[in-house]
Amino acid sequence: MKEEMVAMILAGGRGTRLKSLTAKVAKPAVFFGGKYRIIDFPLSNVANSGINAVGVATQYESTDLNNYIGSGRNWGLNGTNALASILPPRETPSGASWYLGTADAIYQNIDWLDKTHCKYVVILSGDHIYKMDYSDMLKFHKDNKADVTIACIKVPMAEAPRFGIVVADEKNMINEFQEKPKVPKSDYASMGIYIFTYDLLRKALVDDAKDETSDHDFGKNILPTLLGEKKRLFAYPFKGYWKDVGTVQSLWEANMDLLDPNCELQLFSSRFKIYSADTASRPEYIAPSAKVEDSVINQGAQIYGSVIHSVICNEAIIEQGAVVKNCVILPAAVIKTGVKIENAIIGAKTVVDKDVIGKEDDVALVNATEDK
Amino acid sequence: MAYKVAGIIDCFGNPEFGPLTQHRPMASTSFLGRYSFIDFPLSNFLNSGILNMGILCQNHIRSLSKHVGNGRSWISNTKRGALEILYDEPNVANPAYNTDIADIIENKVFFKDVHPDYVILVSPNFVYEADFSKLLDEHVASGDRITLLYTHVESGLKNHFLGADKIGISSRGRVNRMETNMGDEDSGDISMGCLILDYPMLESLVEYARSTSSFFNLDDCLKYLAPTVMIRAAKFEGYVRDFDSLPHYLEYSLELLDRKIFNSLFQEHWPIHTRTYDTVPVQCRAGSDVTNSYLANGSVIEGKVTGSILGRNVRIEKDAVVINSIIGNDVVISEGTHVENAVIDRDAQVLHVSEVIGTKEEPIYIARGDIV
Repeated sequence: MKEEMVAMILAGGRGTRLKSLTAKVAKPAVFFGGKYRIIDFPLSNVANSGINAVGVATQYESTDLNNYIGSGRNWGLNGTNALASILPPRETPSGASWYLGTADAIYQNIDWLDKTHCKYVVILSGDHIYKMDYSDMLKFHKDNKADVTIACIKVPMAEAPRFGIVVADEKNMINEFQEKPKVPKSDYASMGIYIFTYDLLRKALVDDAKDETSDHDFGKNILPTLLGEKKRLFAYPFKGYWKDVGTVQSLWEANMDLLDPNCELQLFSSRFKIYSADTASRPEYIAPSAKVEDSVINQGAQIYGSVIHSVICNEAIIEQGAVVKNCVILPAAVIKTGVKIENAIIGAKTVVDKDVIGKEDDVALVNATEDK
Repeated sequence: MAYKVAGIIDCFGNPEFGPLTQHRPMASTSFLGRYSFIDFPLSNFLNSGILNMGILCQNHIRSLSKHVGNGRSWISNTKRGALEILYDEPNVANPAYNTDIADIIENKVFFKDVHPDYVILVSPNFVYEADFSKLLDEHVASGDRITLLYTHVESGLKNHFLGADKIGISSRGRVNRMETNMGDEDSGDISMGCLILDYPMLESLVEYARSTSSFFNLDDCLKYLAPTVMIRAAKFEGYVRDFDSLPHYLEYSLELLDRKIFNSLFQEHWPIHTRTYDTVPVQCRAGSDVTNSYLANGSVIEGKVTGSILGRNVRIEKDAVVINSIIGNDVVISEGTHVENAVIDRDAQVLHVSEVIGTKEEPIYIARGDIV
């Protein structure tokens, strides 16, 4: 196998701020947008960028996620010359260890990368909502003769402390990197998407693995070290929709964003499609008693009540007389008759029989975590 | 089911839906927006544990092969099982000779490879859900060589099941008469075009047909033999409809908007599988008014839809009204248009006329890709 660029997706994180939504599944497997899971976005981006080989590093509650990825066929990554590998931590002759950090998750799979004979590696997070053609970013990387290219996006200054912040010159060359700074020096945030020239990445990972004081993290260790070594780090300016759905609130907001027909994500555009697993659902049913407005509804849903400005997943049932407003209803949840819910996320297979009223800036989460 | 079974779908002599089946067989015609008719027999076979399936294809192979693809959607083990389109290339331009019997002979290598103990033959125009593993067990236990599945119709034969085979049943439960239902009686027993038989028996039927007339098809053969050969009649309880004409296509499809009827067809734990198109969920925009309808994914609705079935990626623009109609994939109904009792084929666009109105008895049809 010889690929110019391969992808590695970091999908091992728990996502504790998603609360009970990630009690039994890793964050990348959380449902989004009526029919998707979060990891559909990076995997579809990989496929749509013409990348044939992808490794997915999984760790926390990985069974459902591993099953979901399978052979990669839902994203067309099972064709001739294609390779979709699920890469959980493993035992080796020298022992076994969990992935200690984002860099360690790649380091422990250096053998996988070696076998692809790749020249470049694009490293991705399994928990961001966006569409991006990584081949454009690779061209930028080559044009700049970069060692590392970091995709970056402008964020509101007030939010900058949540991100890795880069300080770059007018030619996009990075002078400084601040990981979640208290006092950010710019509003240019790393999206956690990196293209590395593989030889350089390999050496950096091996050196980092020997360093016992390291957290084995790209943002905290690898990037600052490379910058200190005067390597060529560039910021790739990304324009478009990008959202880190790390919290219940941000997950809800990203779902609500879809309801705006002008949403920059353009999820509904037939260009650069996001692929997902198919479900053997029945046709979506809207009953005579239903009222549906300004909503996104997936196949298999049954609507008998009122649905306003909401996202409804497959097999969800909104009973007659129920009122659902500004909500995200995950698969096979049931909203019982007469119940009113507002500004809330309802977990998969959850039956809601009393009112749930959240606030726009503090949404409610109701989730039956048992028997999933 | 310890036997090796070949599930065969007989697309010869299926009813035509006028212009709707001009370019496609009835088997791959759209049903309930999301399905093709053939999804029901294929899913019945899959759910019954049948690994090998063949489709006797009379004509329009393009549409059929596009829908079934490599068959993976309906095959549980892709090494041990297969779904093959059985096509009679030499006779396809020769209608009189192009019979299911000739097709079976032309594709005898399929039967040689599968080497079935039993063959289950079904007709895709009869829509129902049946567990063939149970029906086969009953067939084997009966000791009879041929079982024919029938439905008892208490009233309605004057208007329904026209052109289907009406059977007489002896006191010992065997078919003693078989003739085309011309609607002269309102009550009776109707063959569902489903045969369960051992493979040597199928071979003898084929031989008999060949020695009688080169124009004979399987149905002619059974009609000839019914009085003399023992054919066990097995009564099927449950929803069954013979989709036999364009008006009935509209009537029976819309009849399923009644959830009682829908739930009598769709059994629990009996998924109907279809081919995925990776379409996005439905968007019901602000100002839309959807009631009493089935929707397939991908549609964008800004107007009013009631009592209708929408295929994939349909656009219903502002102030458009769609009533009691079936709308095919990728159709556009433009602003302010009134559509009623219509069947609008895929890719058509209603742009210039303000009304497309038919009657229940004579639905108006707009052809594939037409702009009106």
